[in-house]
Amino acid sequence: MPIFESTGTNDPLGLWTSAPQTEAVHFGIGEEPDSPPQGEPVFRVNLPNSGEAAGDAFDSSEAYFERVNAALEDVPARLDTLVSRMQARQATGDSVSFDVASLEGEPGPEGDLLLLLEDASRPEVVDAGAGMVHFGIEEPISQAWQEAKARFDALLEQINREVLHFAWVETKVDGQIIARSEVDWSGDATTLWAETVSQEQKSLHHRALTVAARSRNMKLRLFVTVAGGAAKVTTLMAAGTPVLALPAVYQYVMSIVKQVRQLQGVS
Amino acid sequence: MSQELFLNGINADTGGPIDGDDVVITTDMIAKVARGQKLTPEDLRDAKLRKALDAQKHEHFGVAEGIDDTNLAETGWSVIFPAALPKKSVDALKEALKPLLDLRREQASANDETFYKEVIGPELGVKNGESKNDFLKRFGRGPGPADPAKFPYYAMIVGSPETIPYTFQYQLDVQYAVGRIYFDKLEDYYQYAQSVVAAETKKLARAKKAAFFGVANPDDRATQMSAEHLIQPLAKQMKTRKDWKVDVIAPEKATKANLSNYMGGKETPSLLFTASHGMNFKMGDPRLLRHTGAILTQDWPGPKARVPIKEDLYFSADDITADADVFGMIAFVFACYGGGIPKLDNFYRQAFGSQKEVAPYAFISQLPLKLLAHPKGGALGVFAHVERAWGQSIVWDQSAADVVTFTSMIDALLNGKPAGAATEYFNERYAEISTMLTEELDNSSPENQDDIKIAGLWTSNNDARNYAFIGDPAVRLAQGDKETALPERQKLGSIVSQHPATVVGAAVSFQPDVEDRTPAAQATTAGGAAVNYGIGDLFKKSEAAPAAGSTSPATSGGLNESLKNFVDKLGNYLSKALDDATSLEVSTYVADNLDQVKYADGKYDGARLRAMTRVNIDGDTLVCVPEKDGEVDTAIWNIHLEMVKSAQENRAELMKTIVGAAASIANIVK
Repeated sequence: MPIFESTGTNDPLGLWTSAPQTEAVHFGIGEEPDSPPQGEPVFRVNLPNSGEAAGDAFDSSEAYFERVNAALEDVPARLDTLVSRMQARQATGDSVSFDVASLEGEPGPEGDLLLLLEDASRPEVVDAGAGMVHFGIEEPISQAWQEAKARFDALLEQINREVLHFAWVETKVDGQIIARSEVDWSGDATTLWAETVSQEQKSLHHRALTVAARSRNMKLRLFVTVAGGAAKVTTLMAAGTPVLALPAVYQYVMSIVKQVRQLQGVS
Repeated sequence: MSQELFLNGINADTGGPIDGDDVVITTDMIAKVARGQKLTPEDLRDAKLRKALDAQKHEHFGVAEGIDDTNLAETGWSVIFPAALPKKSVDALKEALKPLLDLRREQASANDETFYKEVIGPELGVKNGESKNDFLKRFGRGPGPADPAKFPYYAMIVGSPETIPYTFQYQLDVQYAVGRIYFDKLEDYYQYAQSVVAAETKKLARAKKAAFFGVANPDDRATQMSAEHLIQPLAKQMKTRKDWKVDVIAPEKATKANLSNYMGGKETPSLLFTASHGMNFKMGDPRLLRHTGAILTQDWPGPKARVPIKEDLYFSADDITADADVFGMIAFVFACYGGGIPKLDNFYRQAFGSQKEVAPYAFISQLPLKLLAHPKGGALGVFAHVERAWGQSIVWDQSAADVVTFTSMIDALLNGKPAGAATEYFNERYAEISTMLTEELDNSSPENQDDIKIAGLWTSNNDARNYAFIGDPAVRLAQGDKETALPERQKLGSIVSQHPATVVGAAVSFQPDVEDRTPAAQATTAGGAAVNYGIGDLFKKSEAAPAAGSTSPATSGGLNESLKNFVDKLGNYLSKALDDATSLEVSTYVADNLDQVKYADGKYDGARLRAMTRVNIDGDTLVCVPEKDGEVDTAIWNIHLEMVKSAQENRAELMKTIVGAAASIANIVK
């Protein structure tokens, strides 16, 4: 059983494993089971009996957040470098950055970003946004851009959901619930503890709450990074606005986060 | 002994004094603030320098000896923009202000073309957070009287108090004659520029008439004080000028209906002086942006009535009629927030160590702006108070009614001095009081200091400092022995239909920092979303029909819709979070068997509530402590305290991140 489980959509940061809503809320036996309000995200932390192993799990998650944070902080500088490089190419007579040929030497996330920005600059994308109708036969919007846009939409929806409903946080040790907290969006918290819970277990639930809260904030931070990046890379687009660049930059940032995950060993 | 102080501001919801809901301001509290305040070295240097000059000579405080402060060819004139304003915005503003800039260039550069300056761009413009001295250093100037060869004496700031803060204006104003304009629409800049130019070049003359409008609300010591010790002495002094007609509007006639007569109606004078309370609204009130600083008239039944104050009790920008005859008028509005409001309450921060927002951003009150940009010809300027106005500036040290600063300023205006030079008396008073306050604090130990004396000095110091001229500081009273007839005035002033094509239609987008205060924008905030930091409005702008040939900020394939949905929810969250930010509640329950516990309506049924903490924003804290065997159950209590600490940290962190998200959205959809 995964240590960090949550209901709803996949966690873009990859820390929380998606769990079905019904399983996650079935706390009770006998009478009608207790359950969080409809649609409320549930964060469940399944810890081993060993206090040391449980502590390691939290330590690992905290280290992961630090790495992701550091990676997000690097994004603006990386994009500045990319923009400068592409503008330098353009200034020296090289082809514009949307030309696939110009992408040589831009491997990895940066290269993918440029390709997506090229897609976002296509007339059918820009003009559809402007409410214009074309009657000509044109190349369809790329599959890659459509997918990037769908992923970005999912991020927005997830942030909305967690900000508005956050959250029902439950801590289990060796399969037994030791505590659960209902934390609303304004920070008010109501926590239920098992009478027999130890001081060490109290500390574990406290850490579970912290991880859940940091996860929520990290998603917002992710959005802030993407939005800031979109404003930077607009100069690389032949047409369109920063809003059109959002899915491409989100894809780019997620590539970087994926590298961090692989480095950290977060599944 | 501590005394309660009087200030000229009223909270619209309670009908009580501005601070009535939060705190009663007393002299010992202000004395504490005064002791804690840190005047900057340049504040002190300016204050002492001006005090020394005061002792030497009595006519040339602002500009160097031998320079005629009524002659722009000797004093110079400058227009100052924020450094960060994009070039296209500067160009648009310069185009709108061209008539005025051309006139001032001609006047100021008559002898030396360097006496006219346009302070523009990232190199010269006012940088964010920059002090007056750092700014002047670029022009080879330090503290001291204005030397027009290096930087002109008259300076007109074109920018919001967010980009060029009020504190910068106050600092610069100590040695220079400073005014400020900042309108929402380019047409308003153009209208104001044309009004000033027409008034000067077409020799507009209003009748030599001054009006003193003094409110004295029942049971209200502040306005009773201003009516008796400000309005009456000023009017008495004015009456010594036999060639001027003086109207004194006694309290019983100082109604909203009658103020209409003097602010655009048939009794409108060339110089209007009002003394009253100024309106103040809570954050989130849809009237905050439109009506802050509005004049509370005699219609208000006074503080004991404790009734919410509706619009029929005060005179706001909305009450200036379309055909108002204010062309060429200069007004002095003595009232809290009459000129504008900072974002943060300065007193609260210094007294209590925490920041309290009193406005979503610093702004100029709408009433003076509406007067200046009136389509039938604008008023030439408004001298008014930013933030609170205090009774100390009228009655000194609880006993000496002293309004010579006011009478001197009025005399100077009537003698033909430009407004910026005429208002120097307030700067001198500020400098003098700063020196007195500094000396009092320097020369006595805290235990020997007189709280009441220090409080009086501190409030008088801020009070004198916070007057600001709204308009071009080089304007003068449009007075004349032969009044320009009304039809001719209106013909001169009605220039709205003559806007050049480059000006017409350009609205809020021409200044990146401008805020949309149109009624439509306000209506959207009236329903509870008033504190959503305006991010919802961003999409209203972005969804406007694109201009021909341009691309829209909208996005393809429903991206716009999902982003808009996201922004709406974020805005709602912020509204709710700010509404609920007044308290934080953390509860701790314990149960033998968690499986038997149900959760409903924020409570656990079947579990025992062992500890609860509610922290209110005003510092009140309600705590229920767990008990076990007659003593505090420390095990539960400690974990509960940890939960409280976490909750506080999480809320602060989340709010910070959400504001960051809102700012990011603003950046990409602007």
